[in-house]
Amino acid sequence: MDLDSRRQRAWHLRERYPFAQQMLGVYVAVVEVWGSLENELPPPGELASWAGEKMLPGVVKATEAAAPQPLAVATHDLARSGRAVEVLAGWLAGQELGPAERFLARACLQAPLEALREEAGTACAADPAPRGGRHCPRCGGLPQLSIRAGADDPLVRGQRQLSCARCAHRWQYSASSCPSCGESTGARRTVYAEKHDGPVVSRTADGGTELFAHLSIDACATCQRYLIDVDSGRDARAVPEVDELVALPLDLYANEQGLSKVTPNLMGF
Amino acid sequence: MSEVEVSRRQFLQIGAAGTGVLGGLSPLGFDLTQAITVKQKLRIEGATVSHSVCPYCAVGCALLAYTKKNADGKVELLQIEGDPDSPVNEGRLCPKGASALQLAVSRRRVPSPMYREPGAKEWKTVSWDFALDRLARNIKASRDRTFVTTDANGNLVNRCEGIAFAGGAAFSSEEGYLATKLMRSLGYVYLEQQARV
Repeated sequence: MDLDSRRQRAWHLRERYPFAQQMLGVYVAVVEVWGSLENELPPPGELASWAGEKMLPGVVKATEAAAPQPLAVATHDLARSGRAVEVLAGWLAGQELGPAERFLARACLQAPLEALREEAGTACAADPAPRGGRHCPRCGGLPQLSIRAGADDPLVRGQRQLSCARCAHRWQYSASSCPSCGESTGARRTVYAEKHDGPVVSRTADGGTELFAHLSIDACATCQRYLIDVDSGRDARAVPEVDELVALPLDLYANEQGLSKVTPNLMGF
Repeated sequence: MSEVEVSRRQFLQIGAAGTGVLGGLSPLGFDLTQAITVKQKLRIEGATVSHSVCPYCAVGCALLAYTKKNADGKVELLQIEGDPDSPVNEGRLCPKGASALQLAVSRRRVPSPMYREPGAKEWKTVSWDFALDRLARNIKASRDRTFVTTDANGNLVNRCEGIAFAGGAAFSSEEGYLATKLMRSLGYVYLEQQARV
């Protein structure tokens, strides 16, 4: 878990994508909370209560300071209601949560789950979801985003990995199958990206003017779901978890097309 | 944060609204005004992904071809790249394979036959009828000049030793079959084909 690179990338993207400043500000505030507890290893069997005690106060304070009012108020009230640990346990068990609950659970649990590595599976043992395939082989979580590995050679298309929405573990998955339903018929799968003038021969930047050259929408007509695809080959400095947050206009476009994301990100998109 | 209280009803609304956009705000209260403006200016196109195999050599590298259907019904090829799922090339392509797109799309393609007369310095555009007639005449002249009916031992061979044929790797099986039939019918014995899968 490299928090420095995430923090730096978020600051960099705040300047490059002004429309995402508010969201990235909240993200940086949450990352600061993660950083303050970076050296503590949580007990996997009691993660919800540990996070409720250690993470929750910092996350609520950071959210109150940086987030827009509805989110700050909702987070504050949720923490005061005494249901917070229950919500965190629900997230670990794979229960459906509302956006505000999901934000709080993810902000409190992602960093400790990442720190637990293989033991994240123990922390999520109550989730009956299968392990492997379209689910995280470690904790059974759904994918948050699709990542194309970078390569030194512009003629090489890197393999695809999916990143878990719960524990941020990455696993390899077919580049030509839907991460939500497994559809592999090409005609049923559409990649939406900014229009590039002229044919594309290699993955080297060729002076194009695209705002989101390394981001695209990987959509499936069978299940009407999509993920944001982050191509590290087109932007070697990309930090996928952070770059996915600035794909907001692409998310809005996908919603217009009647698509919904496999899992909304930390900020609810 | 201000001390505005959120009622249980409001909280549930936040929880149930999904990623819907109301009045330029996201359900969690993020201001989407600028993002909506950016989205409206984006030129986004959707491409479907098809699997193919590189036509050039015998390695058989797997390709992913991105295409889109235009309003006039024509399918436009946008991009070709190596298939990272293929055990053969794992997403890699050689420079020639990476330019396979130019088999279909190339601004430098010569659209009609070009002819340089014997002794001339300049090329000129000619019709396909002219080019095909000229080729046929030259082939017949060479064949007539170099046709061999019997070998040194007096065996009947009826072959043309003055023309050879080399097939390109982009040939399909059917094209290769047809080419072989045609060349054999003319009596050619020097046939070669760049192998591929």
